[in-house]
Amino acid sequence: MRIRMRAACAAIAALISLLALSCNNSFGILQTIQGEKKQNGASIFQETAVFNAFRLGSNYYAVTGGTLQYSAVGADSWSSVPIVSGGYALRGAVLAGTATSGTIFALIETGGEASLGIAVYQSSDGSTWTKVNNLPPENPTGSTTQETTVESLDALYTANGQVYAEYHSYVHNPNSTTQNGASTYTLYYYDHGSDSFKLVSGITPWNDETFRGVVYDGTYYWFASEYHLFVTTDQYGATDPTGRTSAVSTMLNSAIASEGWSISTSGVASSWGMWAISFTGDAYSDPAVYLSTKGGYLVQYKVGASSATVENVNTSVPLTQVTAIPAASGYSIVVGTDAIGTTAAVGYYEGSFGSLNLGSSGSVAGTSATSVFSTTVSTAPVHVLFYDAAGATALLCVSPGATSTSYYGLYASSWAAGSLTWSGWAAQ
Amino acid sequence: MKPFGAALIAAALLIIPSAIFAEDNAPSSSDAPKVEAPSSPPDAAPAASDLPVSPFQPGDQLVGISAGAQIPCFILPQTGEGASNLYVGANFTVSYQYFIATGWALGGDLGVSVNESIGASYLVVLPLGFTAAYWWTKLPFEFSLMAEVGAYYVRDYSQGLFGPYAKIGPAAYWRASSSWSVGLQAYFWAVPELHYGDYTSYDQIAGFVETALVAIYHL
Repeated sequence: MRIRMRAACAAIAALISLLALSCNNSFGILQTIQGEKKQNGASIFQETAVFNAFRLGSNYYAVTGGTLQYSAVGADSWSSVPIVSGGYALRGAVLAGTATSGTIFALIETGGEASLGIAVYQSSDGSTWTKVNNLPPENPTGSTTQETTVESLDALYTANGQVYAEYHSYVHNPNSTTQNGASTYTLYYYDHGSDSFKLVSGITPWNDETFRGVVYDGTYYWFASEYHLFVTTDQYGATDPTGRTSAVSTMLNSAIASEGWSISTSGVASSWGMWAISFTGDAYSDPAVYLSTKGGYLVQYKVGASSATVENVNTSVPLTQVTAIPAASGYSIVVGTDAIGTTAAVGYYEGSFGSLNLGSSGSVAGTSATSVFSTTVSTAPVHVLFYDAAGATALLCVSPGATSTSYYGLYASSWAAGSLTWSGWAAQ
Repeated sequence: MKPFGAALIAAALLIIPSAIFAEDNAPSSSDAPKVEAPSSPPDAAPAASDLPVSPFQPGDQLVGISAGAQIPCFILPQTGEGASNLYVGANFTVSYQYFIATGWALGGDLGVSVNESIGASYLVVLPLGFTAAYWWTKLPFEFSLMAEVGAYYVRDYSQGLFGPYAKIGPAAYWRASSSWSVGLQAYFWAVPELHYGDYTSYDQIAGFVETALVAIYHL
């Protein structure tokens, strides 16, 4: 009996110790609850992930996991964009160019084993859509009756008006639920003149390594995959006639070494994984390239600088896209977090580079930042924050999960330049 | 908040062993003749002769289990929408009481309450408390007034805190058999959230009303 009592006491003491470790004196739970705002968004965004948002003309567009939605700037209602007649599943959409003269490219699943199973449509006004005629060429579909080569376009990226597509190929064994061998990824660009996608030269197809994005810093294009980075003046090729890739690699190596990392200088393969690449070149912010890593580090390279700097933001979660937004102090950056494995995302970080804090202490969530941040995105992956300077509106694209109808995939906050304050997130 | 952690440990040390050794140590009440305790509540109401003539004598013990609604009443000072940002939730409690004098019992309980907020977060309160209660009977009905103080662990937004709480209220039961009573209880909870150092501006107090169905087993 004495042993049972000791065991019970030990278990209780251990439990209480664990609970005590999780205590946070600097967080007001009841006050946060009081500040929560009931979110009454549109049903189309309820428990629905939104992956991207942009503005073209007088409309905002939101890319959900299946549809493209639009809303007039300043309006409070969203409608589905009829890209093609009948039902379709949107895999992704980007805006190539600017809000006043850009073109939307939409990646649509069409199904069918005899083709890529994908179509790409483009529109310069959001209402008239034209199908891209020539997608990347397909390989022969399998060398034996036992194997089939599966090919697809996974994602679209855009930089300086150019559109890039990630091409994905692997061999599927119909007798097995797993594929044979590795997946191969290559990058194509869209050639407007020939209305076709062409291979970006100088990038060897990678096995099991996906692309992370392309940005243009005003002089150079940065092509990023999970472990490779090419920096070049050539928008159609990753060959490096200027030696910029090597220079950037050396610069990043120097910055990252201060955090105890190392980047291989043989080529540009790195020993750490990139999760996203972003460029902030707005009128109100410093032009800078940001590399978001899988391990929660954020690397900033200010255009024209001779070195890069690193911030350890949160080593538990991958970081996603970076966006610059106006702030009372000039500007802040916002970087989202992603979920990985069994570790949940934590919303986004906001502030000045080098001193980023969770969005609960930021300003874009509104005056009751803690409560509104908690109500909206505190445990959700944030894919990107789109800020429209002309409309003074930020759109937050979130994967809200499907555990509550109170969770939405798209939130908006407006910037008041006069009072230098944000209105706070409101579900769309 | 460390003293509250110590209080929790002390409460656990007092309550758990009492429950574990209850059978070994429970003195039989010579003044309160009882029938053999059934293993479960009877299907039909017992005859009056089956019920104890004078329950709640020194040495008697009770084990209770309750479940019901947790109604948020207020959060003060009101810095936002107050308790209206919380939905009615649920509570669950197990309790133990030992009679030290006729009608007077001391004991403790361990529970959990959960309230969802309008933002789909969950306020979870885990209270562990010392109980003092007065019981009386008008067979086949029994009544009690209970007061309790203790410590709680609260969690929401992935953040946790320890704090003190107090609970008070009445309960009414129907003595279903010599061993079982079932009834309703309505307790008011005062749950202060206390901070120290630079964060005392977060100090608040929440009030809840617990209404629950309760089953009591008379050991």
